[in-house]
Amino acid sequence: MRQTEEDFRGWVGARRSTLRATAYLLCGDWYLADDLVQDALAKIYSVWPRIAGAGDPDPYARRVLLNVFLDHRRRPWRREVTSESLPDRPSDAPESDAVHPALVVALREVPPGQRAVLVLRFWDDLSVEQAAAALGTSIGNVKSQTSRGLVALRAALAAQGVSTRSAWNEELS
Amino acid sequence: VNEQAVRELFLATPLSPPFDGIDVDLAVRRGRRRRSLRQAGTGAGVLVAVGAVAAILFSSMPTRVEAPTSSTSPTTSSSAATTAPPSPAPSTPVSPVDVVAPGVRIPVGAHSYATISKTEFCVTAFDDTGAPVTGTNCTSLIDGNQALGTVGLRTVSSPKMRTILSGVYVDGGVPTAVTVTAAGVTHVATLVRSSARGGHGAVGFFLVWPGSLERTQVRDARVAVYDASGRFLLTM
Repeated sequence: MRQTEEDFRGWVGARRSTLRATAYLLCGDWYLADDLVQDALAKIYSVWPRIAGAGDPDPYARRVLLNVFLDHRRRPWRREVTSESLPDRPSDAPESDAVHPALVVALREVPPGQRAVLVLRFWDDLSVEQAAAALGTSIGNVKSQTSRGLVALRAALAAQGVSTRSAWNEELS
Repeated sequence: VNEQAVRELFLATPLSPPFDGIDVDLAVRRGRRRRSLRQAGTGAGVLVAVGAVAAILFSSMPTRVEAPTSSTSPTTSSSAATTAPPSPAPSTPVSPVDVVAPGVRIPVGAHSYATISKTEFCVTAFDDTGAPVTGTNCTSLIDGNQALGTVGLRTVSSPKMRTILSGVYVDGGVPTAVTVTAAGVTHVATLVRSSARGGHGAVGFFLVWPGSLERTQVRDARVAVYDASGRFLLTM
């Protein structure tokens, strides 16, 4: 058991930055990204002996993180609109990371499913087949989601006045 | 599509987190708990089914816990509760429990987190954009503002955020469950104990309310504390 935990901690140490960056690109918020990764790590640890014994745990971890992100999007409290503000004792709280890179801001405008495909394909550098396996969907679906996602991303970047590479624009036109 | 151009755009984007909020110790503890629950569940399917029915019955029951002498407390500060004579509960709620070291952050929904130490229980809340809502909302466990054997309740919420109900139960026994009733619905809160106190003494609790609450519903919210046998220790 001790060896299992040490292996897990070692893997987290090596993959921590990548998982956090992936989560940040998915949700566009470092606070939420850490919450997503934290939830994912607990789920991964609960089955760690099995997935570590099977070889490379990264694909499973990526899939868990994606599911945590997509499940989070469906949680009921995200639809809640409350009207109270009842501060008790304000103190020094960490500042929000209000300034986000243009790409991250633009990704927020892309539907979550398409966003997940874009992050897998162009950040995690997965092939269409690998992305389909990570998402548990078909290759054709990944291709169509990629195409639609890129169109949405381009429009969102253009709305910010961000110019993209000419080659990309030409291809998308 | 020129996929290489898109990849370059991703690679050129700076991804420098302003902090690191990952707690591997917490992930390990929660992972162990998930594994234990899963292993227990596979060997006790019938018990789980019975428990699920009980949980549904309890959560759907419009419980209204009447405190004999106390009035409804303000929601913005700790408030004392009236001890009620122990009486059998209709079912036995059990709160999830986190026993954590001082300073360890316990996620309270997205963004927000709770901490507990020997001296105070705090909830730091952010709205859904990651902006701080109320700063850090702390209840002292030692300043005497909350009498022994009582429970307090605080709330934080904003138009962009869900409502978080939190509070402490101070040195009145060992509760195994805290429930909060608002708008005629009762939900079980999560308990937070400090490992620095050996898991005893003051107990914090929090509940992310799964829906909207009006101001009057927040004001009229009631807290009930149960012991291991499912009996009320006290109500507020």
